Order: sequence, then C-alpha cells, then structure tokens
Amino acid sequence: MIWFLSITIGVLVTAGAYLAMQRRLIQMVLGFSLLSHATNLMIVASGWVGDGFSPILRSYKAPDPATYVDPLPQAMVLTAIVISFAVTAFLLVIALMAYRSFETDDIDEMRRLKG
Amino acid sequence: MESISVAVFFPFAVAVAVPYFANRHRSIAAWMAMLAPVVSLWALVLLYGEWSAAGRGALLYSFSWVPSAGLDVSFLVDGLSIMWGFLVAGVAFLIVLYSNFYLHEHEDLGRYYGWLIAFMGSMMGVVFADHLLTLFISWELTSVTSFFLIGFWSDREAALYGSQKALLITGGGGLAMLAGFLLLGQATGEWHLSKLIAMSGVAGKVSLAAFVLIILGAATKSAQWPFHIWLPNAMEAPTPISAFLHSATMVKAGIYLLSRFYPILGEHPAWGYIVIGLGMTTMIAGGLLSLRAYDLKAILAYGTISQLGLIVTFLGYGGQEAIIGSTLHLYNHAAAKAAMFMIVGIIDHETGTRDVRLLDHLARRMPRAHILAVLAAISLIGVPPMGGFLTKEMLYGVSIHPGGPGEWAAFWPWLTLAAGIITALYHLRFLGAPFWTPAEGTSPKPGHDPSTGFLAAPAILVALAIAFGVAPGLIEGTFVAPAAEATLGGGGHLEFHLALWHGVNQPLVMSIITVAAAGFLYWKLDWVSGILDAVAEMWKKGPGPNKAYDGAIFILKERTWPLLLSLQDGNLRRYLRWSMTVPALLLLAAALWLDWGEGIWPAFSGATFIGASVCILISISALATALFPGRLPAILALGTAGYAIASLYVVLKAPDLALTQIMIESASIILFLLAFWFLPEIKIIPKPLSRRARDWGIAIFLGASSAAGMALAMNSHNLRTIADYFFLTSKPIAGFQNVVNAIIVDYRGYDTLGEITVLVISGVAIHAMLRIVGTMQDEGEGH
Repeated sequence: MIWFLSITIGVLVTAGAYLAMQRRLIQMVLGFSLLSHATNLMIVASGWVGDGFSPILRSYKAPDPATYVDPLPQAMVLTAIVISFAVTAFLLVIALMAYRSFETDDIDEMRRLKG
Repeated sequence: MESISVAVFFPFAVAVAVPYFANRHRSIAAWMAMLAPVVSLWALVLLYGEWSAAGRGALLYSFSWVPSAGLDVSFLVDGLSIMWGFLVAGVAFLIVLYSNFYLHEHEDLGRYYGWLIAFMGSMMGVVFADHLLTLFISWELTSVTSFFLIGFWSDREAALYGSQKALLITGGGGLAMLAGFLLLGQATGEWHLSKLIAMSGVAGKVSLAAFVLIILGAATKSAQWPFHIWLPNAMEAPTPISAFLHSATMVKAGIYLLSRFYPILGEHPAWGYIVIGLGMTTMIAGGLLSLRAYDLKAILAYGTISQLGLIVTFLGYGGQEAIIGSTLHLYNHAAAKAAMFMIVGIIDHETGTRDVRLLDHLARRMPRAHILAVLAAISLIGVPPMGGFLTKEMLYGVSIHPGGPGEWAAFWPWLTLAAGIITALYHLRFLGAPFWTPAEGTSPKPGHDPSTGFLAAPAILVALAIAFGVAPGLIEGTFVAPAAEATLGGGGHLEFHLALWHGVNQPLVMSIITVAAAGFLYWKLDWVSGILDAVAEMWKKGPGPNKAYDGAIFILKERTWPLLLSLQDGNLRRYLRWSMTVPALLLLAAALWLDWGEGIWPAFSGATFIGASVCILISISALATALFPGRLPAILALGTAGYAIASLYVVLKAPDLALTQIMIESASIILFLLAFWFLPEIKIIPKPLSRRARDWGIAIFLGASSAAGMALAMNSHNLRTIADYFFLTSKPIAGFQNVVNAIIVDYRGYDTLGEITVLVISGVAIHAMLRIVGTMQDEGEGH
C-alpha cells in the first residue's frame, strides 16, 4: 500500500508540475490544484499506519494511542483543503481578470503586450 | 564590569543620540559628540585602576548573550587592550575637538559625528573583544562605519569610489579573517582569545590556510602591500576622519590583530617570512609611492602605509625588543601622523588647496603650523629628541639581531636602512614641498596661521611626540611595558628602561647615515624623481594592484549582465522550472545522507483491493487532466481526481477529510465551470517536441523523487507526533470523541480562526474583482 500511495502522489506531482509549467492560465490553475492535492495526500499519508483505526475514540477510558492513525496531520490537512480551495478560487478570478484586460490567456503573450 | 561596558557601549548610545540633536542645535553638536570620548576615557581610567589593583594580568568581564549558541559577550582587559583603549579614545577626543573648527557650518553634523562616534565604539569593541566572533563583528563594524565616513561628502564621485574600495577590501579581508577564526576555533576547540593565549602549542595545530587567512584580515585593514590601494582613495574623507581612521586607529586595527595573535601564532613557522615580507615590502613601496604624490594627503597616506609596514616588520621580527619597539612606535606614529594630518587640514582650510605644486613658501605665512609640521615630521624621520628617534634606533638594533628567519639575517640591516632613508626622504619632501620651496602655480587663497583653537589639537599631539622621546618613562611603565608583556604572552614582568642616549653603537651609526643620506637625496630630489618617473613610465602597462581591483570591479559590474539576465529574465515559467528542479535535486542530495541498509524500502505488500483501485483511478484522472486538450474534459478529469482522493481519505482512515474533500471538490468544480465559461477554449499551441520533452522531464523528475521520498519516509516509523497527548486528553479536556475535531476547534482553535479569516478575505477579494470584471463588461464589451 505504501508503494501505491507513493506512486499516486508522484503521479499527481508530475501532472501538476507539468500543467503549472504551461503557457495557458487555465492549465496553470489546474496544475496548482493537482499540486495541492498531492501535498495534502503527502501529509495525511505520513500520519497513516496500516492497521490503525480512524482517530475517533472507541473507548473513553484509557484509549491506546498506538492503535489509531495520527490525528494531527489530518487536522492540518483539513485546514489545508479549505485554504487551497480559497487559493484556487482566487487564482481563477485573477486568471479571469487577466484575460479580460489582455484578451488572451497566454502568459507569454501577456508579457509581450505588457512590454 | 560597569566601567568596561561604559567604555565600549556608551559611544554607541551617543552615536544614536547625536544625529537627533546635532542638526537642530548645531552649536552643541561637537560638545555632545565629545561626551563619548570623555566618558569612555573616564571609564578607562577607572578600569585602569581596577586592572592595576588586580595585579595587571588579564582580566575577564563576561556576560552571556546567546547561551544556547555558546555565544557570550566577554571583554578581555590586559595591558594591550588597555593601551589601545586609551589610544582610541584619546585620539577621538582630539579629533572631535579639531573637527569643531574644521567643519563648515552647513555640513550635516549629525551624520558626521554619529558615524565618527559609532566608529570609535566599534574600535573599542575590537580591542576589548575576547570572543573571536565578537572581535569579528566589531572588526566589520569599523569597516562599515569607515565606509560612511569616507563617503561623507557623498556628492563627490571620488569619495564614493574611495569608500566602496575601502569597504570591499577591508570588509573582504574581515571575511577572510572570519574563515581563519573558524578554522582556528575548530582546530583548537577554543573561541576565547584569553584561553587561546594561555594555551600552549596553538601554532602547531593551526593549518597554513588558517594562518594566512587571519594575516589577510590584518594586512587588508592595515593597508599592507598589495592591499594598500584603498588607503590613498580613502583620503577623500574629511581631513579629521583621515587623521583619525587612517593614521591612528582603523589602519592600526591590523597591527592590534597581529599583536594580539603574536602569542598565539608567533611560533608558527610561516610567521617570520610572511609578516616580515609583508611589512618590509609595504614600508619600501609606501615610501617610494609617497615621493611621487602631489596631494599633501596622498603624501601622508603613502607615508602611513610605509609606517604601518614598519610596525608590521617589528612584529615579524618578534622577540622582546621588537615588541617593545612596535608598541612604542604606535604611540609615536599616532601622535606625529595625526598631527601632520591636522596640519594638512589646516593648510587646506586656509589656502584652499592641498596640491604641493600650488603652495608657495608657506613657512613665511604660516610659521606656527610650520613649526608643528617640522616637529611632527622629524619625529618620524628619527631625529632626537623626538619619540621617533627611540623607535628608529630600536628598529635598527632589532634588524641587526633579528629573531625572525635566520637565513636572511644578513639582508635585514641593509633593507631596514634603505627603508629608513626613504622614510626620512619623503618626510623631508612633505616639509619642503609646501613650506620651503616656490610654487609652480598659485593657491586659491594666500593662507595665514589659523586661530589658536584650530592649532590646539595638533599642538597637543606634537607635545606628546616630544614627551615620548624626552621622557619615555611617562608611558614606559604605565602602558608600553604592560602592553608588550601582554603581546609576549603575559608571562612575567618585563624589565627594561627606555632612554634617548645609548652611547655610540651600530644603530646610532645607522641613524646618522640615514639622516645624511636622506639630506643628500633631498638636495638632489630632481634625480630621485626622475628615476622614479622613468620606472613608473616603464611599468605603465604592467599589472598592478589598482588595475587588478578596477578590473575585478569592472567584471563584476559589467560582465555579469548576461548571467543575471539569463537567470532573472522575468520569464515566469523559467522561474517555475527552477523551482521544480531544485527541490527534486535537494531530495536527491538528501538521499546521499541516508543509511542505505537492508529494509529501507517498503515491502510490496499490504495493498487492499479498494485502496489500490482508488490509487489507480486518481493517477489516471490526474494524467488525463494534464493531457486532455479540451477545457471541459480537463475539468471533469480534475473533479474525478478530487472525488477519488476523497475516497482515498476514507481508505486512509480520515473520515473528516473525506467529507470536507467532497464538499470542497463540488464547490471547486462549480467555480471552475463558471470561470471556464468566460475563459477561451484551450488552444494547444504547437510546441517543439524538445520543449515538451523538457517540461515532462522536469515534471517526471520531481514526481519520481517525491514518490521515492514518500516511500522512504512512510517506511520509517519515526513519525509519531504529539498524538498521544491528544488521544489521552481529547475527552477529559475538550469533551470530544472525534480527536480531529478536538484539534480543529479546541487545541488549534486560533489556527482555525486564522483559516476562516483567510477564507473570508479571499471571498471578499473575489467578490470585488468580479464586480470590476462586471463593470468592464458593461463598459467595454456590452454583452
């Protein structure tokens, strides 16, 4: 399972990185979206133990922490998911505005127009 | 404790305060600035008392600064640092006194006195520092403060050039010194000068590289050949600054460093060769260059270089007599040279020029300045009864019986004698050219003796120069002997007696030859100048330190544009490619540190059917997002990846994340669809195969290294966080069964608050931007 997870993360990074390096604004936003998925997965996976329970207490008295997966990365990623949504939305709107002012979504073309 | 802190830190307080008051109350600026040297001197007097009472050994005052890094601020008070402290504060006092007459009304007094006093404080830091790093910091502070002082008249091109040159050379030398300190500290495991001095056999443990690097620090600061080139350009500073920094203090910091390290590194086999070689070359080169200068300050600057060479030569010879000689000469030179600079400042002030070709028989019009100049100059020529005579005799004596490398012993007296004659000759020219001989042109103002107050500071210095010769006992027991003892390593008390008259001996004969030869050569100065000019003419095309410096600066300034432009060309995607490649390379580099033993890679087992299929689905949709040409398929592929990741969170035992991901993913897709409604269809711009291959190459490189790194990280089970605490306290403290919830809203509640704030802010921003887009549409396009 570790290998499956790692390779999935690797593929997400590859696809995201490739898209982020392209000339179209849309592709860049898509790329960053994929990259943030990859990052979130990395953090969660780092707290994962194969046979652990989800971090919801099964008994109130003296729980054994070693039997659960780590809750801290999950809490961090929960925040990160929401923030990356905000960032994606922001990027989209900026892309939209850039397109409106330059009438192109090609960033090389924009540089040329800006001079 | 208190007095040493006051002596070192009080100047900085004054330096900060002066600029606030000086320009508002111009009449009191100098008096405020004077507080610093006066208070420091008073603190030093108290410190001298404490130190004497404690038996005149080495006293340590320390308090901790960054205890975790093993850094402390500690001051080493021994004969050497006390002597230097008095020298710095004493000259600073006279310089401030003199500046009050020298500076014009309209100058920026706050800036001038602020930097001047800050420089004085830095010098205090240099001479009292015990920790090597404190020494380094103070050392670089003197470079920085002197940069601002040399460039004080910042509207002059030459001042800017000079200050940059001084900063680059002395600051660079300081960095070399730091590297040397680090090597020294590593080799010995000790960072305190006091302990290094007490340690035996340090020189044997130190590599040649460390030794040379430390000497480099001293050589650049003390303007030793070939690093002397900054000093003449630094003469663009106001004259009191030249007198202070470039005669008495900053350039002598290198001498201080050599004296301080003499007990530590003096035994090093390279000491004699390098230090004598440096000093002797500088002494002769400086003297010859002085003979070719026409600006009075340049004549003095080259003279200073030569004199610094002399002191360095003393330190190179080593041994008791040479160390006493170098210590005593510090006083003689500081007094005489500062006085000469001040007199040049007066000439400049009264006649409007420093060019000796325009100064005509000034002795007739400025008799009082003339007498002071003669007395100061003959001290350095070495004429009795001035203090310089004593040290010149000592140098000759030492050169006959040097402690340095034996095989060159036969040459030292002759070389030393030649250097002495050149020294006498350029001092005669310093007197003759402005005061005694007719001019080729006319000076802007005829010139006359200035007010008595203006002459006070040089007069005090000349009086001291006489006192050091007539009654060396004044400073012999109080300063010179303790400083020499400290330089020699602090062991035992020195018994010696300085006196002007030693009877007829070899040094006296050499002195007589010196004065006679210099007199003869001055009479035939045209010959000497002719020969020097011819040599200079021949060498015009040859290499030189100034050409090397200017060439290096030219290359750095002009030739680096292509490199800069290729790295910083404003192309966003090039930056991105770097930002993608470098982390991947860093991951590879980190892999080198790993212990590649058995079982470092995870096993290929333990995959569940659901887990594996979700992973495959995510991978396929991610690649599809990247490869689909149309926008709608790309969005849908991204959405598929997002929902699949939500299911993967379930597999990873993160139900809260799965719920959040589903909601957020739905919202994102709607947003993407909305935005793409307005954006144009993705037109695949045909790209050369090589570019695509490069992009894919970088992307796959980064992806593969992330995957490998992740596999390695997950396989090592050292990643348990503070989770145990959360599990045990979630219910009793926070009342939550769901530990993730407890973390979000309780343990890390403020974090969540911040997150929500970010969300709100971005929502507001998006709203605002959309409204702008809406208005643009209404106005421009008329949908």
